[in-house]
Amino acid sequence: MSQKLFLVTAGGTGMRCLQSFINLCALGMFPNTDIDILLLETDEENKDKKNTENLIQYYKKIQGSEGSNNSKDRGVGEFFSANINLYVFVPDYSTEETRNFVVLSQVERGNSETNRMLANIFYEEGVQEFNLAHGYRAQTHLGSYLMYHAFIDEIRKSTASDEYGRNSDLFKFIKHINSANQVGAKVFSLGSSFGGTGASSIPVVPRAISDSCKIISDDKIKMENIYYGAVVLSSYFNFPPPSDAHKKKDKIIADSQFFQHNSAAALMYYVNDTTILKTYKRLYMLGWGDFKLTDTQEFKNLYAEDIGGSTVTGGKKQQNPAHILELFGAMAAKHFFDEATTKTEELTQISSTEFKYKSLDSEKNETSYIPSVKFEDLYSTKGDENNKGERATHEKIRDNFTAFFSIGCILKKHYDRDITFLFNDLRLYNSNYDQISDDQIEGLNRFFEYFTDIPNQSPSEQTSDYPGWFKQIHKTFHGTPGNGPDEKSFFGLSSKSFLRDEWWENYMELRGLKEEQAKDKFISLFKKTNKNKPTGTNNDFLIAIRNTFFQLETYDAASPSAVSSKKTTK
Amino acid sequence: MFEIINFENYESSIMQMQMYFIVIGLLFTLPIMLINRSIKYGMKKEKNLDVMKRRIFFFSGLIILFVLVVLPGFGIFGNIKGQMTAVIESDEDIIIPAIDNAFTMCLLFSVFAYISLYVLVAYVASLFKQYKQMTVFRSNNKFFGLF
Repeated sequence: MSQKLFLVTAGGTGMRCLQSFINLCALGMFPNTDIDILLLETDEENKDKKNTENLIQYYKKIQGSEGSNNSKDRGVGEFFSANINLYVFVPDYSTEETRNFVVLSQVERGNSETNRMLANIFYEEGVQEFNLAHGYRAQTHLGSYLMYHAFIDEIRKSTASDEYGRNSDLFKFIKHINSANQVGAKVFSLGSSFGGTGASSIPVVPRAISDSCKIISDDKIKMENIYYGAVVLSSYFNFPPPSDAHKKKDKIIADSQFFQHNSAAALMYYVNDTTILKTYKRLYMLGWGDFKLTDTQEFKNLYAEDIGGSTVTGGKKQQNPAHILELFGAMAAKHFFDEATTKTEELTQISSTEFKYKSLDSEKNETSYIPSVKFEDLYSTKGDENNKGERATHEKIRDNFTAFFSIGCILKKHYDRDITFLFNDLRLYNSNYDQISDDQIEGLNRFFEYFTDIPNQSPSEQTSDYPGWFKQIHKTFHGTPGNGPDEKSFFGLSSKSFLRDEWWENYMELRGLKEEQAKDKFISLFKKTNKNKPTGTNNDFLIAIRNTFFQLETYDAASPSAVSSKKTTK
Repeated sequence: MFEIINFENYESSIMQMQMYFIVIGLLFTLPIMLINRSIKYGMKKEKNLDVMKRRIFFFSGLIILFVLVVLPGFGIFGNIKGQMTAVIESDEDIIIPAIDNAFTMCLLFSVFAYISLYVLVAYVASLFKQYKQMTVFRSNNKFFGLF
């Protein structure tokens, strides 16, 4: 039996890290792996949560596993080849009995004066009374307590009532970990160290899971084969500070100007706390240092319909742009899950948390440091380049990223975001992919749309598309959402592909060609790579298009050969 | 082009004429193939017309070849017949009707050569994974996109 992989994501940043993780799964970074994902959130209406759930829904649609457990449909090429199971847990803070700490902890029951005095030792009055419906509002000392409580309460209710347990995702998730303890499992947590839900949950996740498993098994289990890892993500974005009126109204409100202090405090805690050091085998420290932070409001003003300067603490409007640190967070999960980089045997030897980090190249300009990133920075393993006849892992990652992005650009630029038209063209040229369900087509359309450009669903036609996930990462990389970074500093990918969807500019053989020539060459290559096909599935299509892109050499603006080819093209 | 034709050699001259028509058919294929090769594959939301354009050029070539061969007076057959008639030494009453009788075969040979070479090249190209010429005969995995 293979080792089980579990991912716990918490809070808004956790949701966006999870989006990065799902994209890695879509890119084929976890081939033929089963991953159980627990999504922890305190704010049911959070837009980032909704986006993440939608993304997983599209992913499942593309796999074709919805309504069918046909194993043939599961491993879709190498793209979309991981099998994801999503479990959602949102503590209900919307009722009168759970709306704030005071009522939830029943401070007023029994000897209320003593209870209040005890509560006052730990939490100030405002913290005890703010409405929890929008999460923990960066009050991690309260959040950790409440999240642990919510975990245990849910498991107790589920063990007490079969019907409750059947409907509880958290209970199912914990049961899977409980049974995985026999064969061994890795559990990785994703979330921020500076916000509310994520920062509150990550410290208590191992303890909450272990204690939940003990409740399920009547304390007859030793969690010896469960290995925990997590990212500690420091602040990398900011938003406008709350107005005085807003502060007066809500009293406790998240303020991004304190995020760096929160991160610093959290880091000191993670480094020194004995419970953390005993439970987590490895922590990946990720931060944005002196690089420019992303101003989320500036980004929204430029690209989203919703223009306004108010502080958003949660709810339908909490949707921040993706950032490369979230991708690094997802890559940290890959590093922890992969046996090539993290051997289980090594984890058993670790008695106190091991801390990992990596750094990016940067240049200093007048005001700040400018980072640059290469695919090697995302993931690399020792001796990987020396494997004869096989590309290094970072090269595979680069090719997958570029191909996936190119498909998104092709669909947007040539097919009005509808893959059916691409299938029509391929059918015309005797490559027929007709065994694809409407659900799969819908999934592919939405997934690639999400990856490159999302149409603004607004009646005003003036606004351009909202950048998709990869374009968001591109735009937020240097903190300025305009045209994004110089192509040399962002994976060496062509700026034209980001700004004008000229996907062919990312391939050496197609660079400099006119659009019509590039299309002709691409279809010729598709036909050359893939024989005529009277009938085919989604799986066949994804393999075929991926193989086609793999015939091409990816452009790297930072490499010397790219510079010389530029000269010859001119 | 032709040597002196008489009763002794007129049959071989007619055969030579038929060979000319095969060569004409073959030569006619080449520019059409080049034109069709230059028509680009398309990627667009609307219906792609490149396959239809290649078919139009293919059939246009066929029709033009047919017309050029059969055109009375200035047609290829008329022209060649004129050249042959000019070098007939004797037995004109036998040789000229024999040349006229060869008209149908000449037409068929040129058309057959045109189609055969195109199909052969398209097939050989497809063996080398170049499918563009083959789209003239096969699209949507059906012959001419229909059958």
